Formats: sequence, C-alpha cells, structure tokens
Amino acid sequence: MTSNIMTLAGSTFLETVRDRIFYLVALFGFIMLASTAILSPLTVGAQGKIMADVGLASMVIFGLLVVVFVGSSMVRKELDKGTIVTILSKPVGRREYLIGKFLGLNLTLISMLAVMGLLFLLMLFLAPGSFSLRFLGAFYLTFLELTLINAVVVFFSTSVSPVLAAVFTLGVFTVGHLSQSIRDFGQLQDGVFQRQMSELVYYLTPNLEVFNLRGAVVHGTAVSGEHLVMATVYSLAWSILLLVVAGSIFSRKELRGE
Amino acid sequence: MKSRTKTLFRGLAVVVLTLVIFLSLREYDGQQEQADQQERLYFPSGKFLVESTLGFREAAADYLWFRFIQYYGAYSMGQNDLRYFDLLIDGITKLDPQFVEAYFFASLVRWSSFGDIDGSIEMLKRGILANPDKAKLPFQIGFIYYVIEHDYKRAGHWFEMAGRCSDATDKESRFAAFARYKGGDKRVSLALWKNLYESTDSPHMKELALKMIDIITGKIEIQKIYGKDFIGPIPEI
Repeated sequence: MTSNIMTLAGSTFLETVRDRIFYLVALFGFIMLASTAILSPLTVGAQGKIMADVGLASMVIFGLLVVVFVGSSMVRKELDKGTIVTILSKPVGRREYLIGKFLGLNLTLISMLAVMGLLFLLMLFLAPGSFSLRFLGAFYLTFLELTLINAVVVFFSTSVSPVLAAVFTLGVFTVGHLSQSIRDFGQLQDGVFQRQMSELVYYLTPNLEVFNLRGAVVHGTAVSGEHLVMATVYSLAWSILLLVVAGSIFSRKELRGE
Repeated sequence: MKSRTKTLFRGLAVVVLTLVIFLSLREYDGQQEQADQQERLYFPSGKFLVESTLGFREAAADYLWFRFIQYYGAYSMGQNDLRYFDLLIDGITKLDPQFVEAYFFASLVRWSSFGDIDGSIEMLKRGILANPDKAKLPFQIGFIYYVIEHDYKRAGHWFEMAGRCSDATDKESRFAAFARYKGGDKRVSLALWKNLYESTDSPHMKELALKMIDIITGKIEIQKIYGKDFIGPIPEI
C-alpha cells in the first residue's frame, strides 16, 4: 500500500515538474529582486521589512496558485485521458490514489517552498540587518497552510468540475482568513440564531489565520515551538479529515470504462 | 506590388495603433490625477480595511506606504496638499501596527510640514502603545522635547524610557543623562552616567562617562559647601 502511494506521489511530482510549475519560482526570484533593487528608494528606512513582507506574501500566493490550478484539474485530467482506469485496474485503491495525488502535490510544494525560501534568505542576506533564521518558522507555517489548502482542493476535485473546485478552494481560502471576524461579527448580533450560525461557520471552516504569523516574524518575533506544534496538529487534522471524506466520495464515484 | 501595398498598410496600421495607444494612455494619466484623489477619498478605514486584505495585511501596508511616500513626494514638489495624510497613515498603522518607520516618518511630517508638535508627539505615543519595546519612538519624543520645546526634564524622562527598551544602545542613556543634567537634576544625571559607565562596552563612552561623573561630582560638592544659589567663583579683577 505504502509503495503504491509513494509511486503515485512520485509520478504526480514529475508531472507537475513537466508542467513547468517551477517557472513560478523564477518569477518569485524576479519579484524578490525587484523589491530590493527597484523599490528600495521608496522604502524609506523599511527596506528589510518590505522585502520580507513581499517575499513571504509571494510564497503564499505562488503556492496557492500551484495548489489551486494544478490540484483542481489533477483528477479530472486523468479521468478525461482514461489513465485513471489503468491505474485503478492495478491493485491500487481509490483512497490510495487520492493520497498519492495529495502527497505528490505536497512534494511539489515542499520543493517550491524550499527553493523560494533559499532565494528569500539569500536576498535578505544582501540587505544589511535583515537576515534571520526565525523566518524558517514562517516558511513552515506557510507549508502547513498550503497543505491544508491542498487537501481542500483534493476534496473538491473528487466531486465537482476543475473550475468549480478552483473557485470553491479560493472561497475556502477567503473564508479561512475571515472566519475569526465572522465569529466576532456574529457575537455582536442580538439574535441567538445569528450568534450560533457565526459560531458554526467558525468551526466548520479552517481558520487559516492560525498559520499567519508572517507579520510577527518580520517584526522580530520568533514563532514559539508550542504554536508550531498546535498548527501542525490543526493542519494535519483538517487534511486527514478532508482526505477521508474525499476518499468516501471518490469510492462511490462511477468512472468511465471501469 | 499588391503585397508591397499590403505591407505598407500593415506598417501604417501599426504606427497609427501605437499612436492611439500612446495618446489614450496620456489621456488616462490626466484623468488619473483626479481619480487618485477620489480613490483616497473613498479609501476604507478600520476593520474593513484589515479584513479586505485576507491575511496579507503587512504586504498591503507596504503598498500603502509606497503610495504615501509618493503622495508626500508630490507634496514636496508642490503638486498636492496633504489633506489625505491622516487617512493614509491611519490605514498603514491599522494594517501593520508594528510598522515603526511609519509612525516615525509621520511624526516628522507632522512636525516639519504642519508645524504640529503636539500631533507629532501623539503620533509617536500611538506607535509606542503598539511597540512598547522599540527605543526609536520614545527617543524621538525625547528629541522633540529637547531640541524644539527645550523641556529638558520631559526629554530626560523619554530618553530614559527609550534606554529601558530591549533594542536600546548607549545613545539613549547618554541623551538621558545629558538631558537630566541640562534640566538641573544633577544627582539623577550623575546616577545615569555612573550606570552608563558600568554598563557600556565602548572605551570612548567610558571615557565620556568618567569625565561627566567628575564634572557633576565637582558641581554637587561645590553646591554642598556654598549652597544651591552659588553661581561660581568671583573672577579676579
């Protein structure tokens, strides 16, 4: 079972590499360079901060783009080409297939974040007084956030079309960053129903602000070990839950040619 | 011949279209000046601004910072007034309350362009509330009291506060000791110089502290003997 998953993960990773996903990394490098060289006259004493902000935000945005656009069409592509039937005709379970796809995309994410992280640290190294290893904590939290989003996109890709899967995943990303405010807003309402609904929305959607300590890290606060453990548990719990539900949906799905 | 005419026609079309694009852009730039001001007029504030950035608060604050710098640059060149100054600064500091440079620069503008010393100090105090551990902000308040208001006691208080911050250097303590001395608190100043002498690693600072300790100790001794109103020895005629 494990070897099947690993083989699928490996082939998914190679597929994304063949799709020239890493061009985005080059674009990231360009943005980092631009934020240093072109924008420096406008930073007025905040060059290190702005470089770090732009770099960390770009990592999330590029990671999100890859996860959403590659992940949403991943299953559909194989359904259309009919290769999924070939794969599933071998002793590979549908759940294994989904987990393999999920891990393959996560492997792409890890490689991308590693290269972008190195570029980021290199650029900070060139700006006096900006380099710090505390950014590793922010990279890790970004990876956890994108892992969760990866599980969300896998979940949607098993049940709806690629376009809808991408739209719904972006919706989850948006709500995930607003869920705390939705709850706070609900608490201000007079009606008990509104308060309970906002509470429900808060618990039914992943709170992605858990992974957003970029500002604090840029301003010199290191992410605590306790928070890293909590965020890891939170991301893993959501990812496993979504993959289990996605597996159940996918197991019942009728595939052409099967 | 026919193909030649076609090529000529295509070339002409490219030139005309390029010209149209260029002129449209010029027209757009003209409209943009007014639109820019309107954009700032309807600029969201408060919690909505924070929420609308979807977790990219700091990057959004940086974007506004660029806009602010350009806006101030245009003011310096006489192209606009500063009526949206507060709006932009509020936006930046709401999005990123730890953006120390924004408070610092805004305080400088308040002081230098509006002549509003109280507003300048208020801006710095707002920054201190969000960043109690950054020496730069209380130091700047001390600097304003020292240089502009000549209120050395208050200046000393703020310099001391800056000296207690985690990122403080010898500079804050040195200014505190000088301000206390100028404000007439010789004993406090002496204590601050002694403290600086013990804590600093810089030989130059140790030398300065020792010199000041000697001067202040001497003055205190003279005051002890001749009283508080003693103004110095009578010069020989």
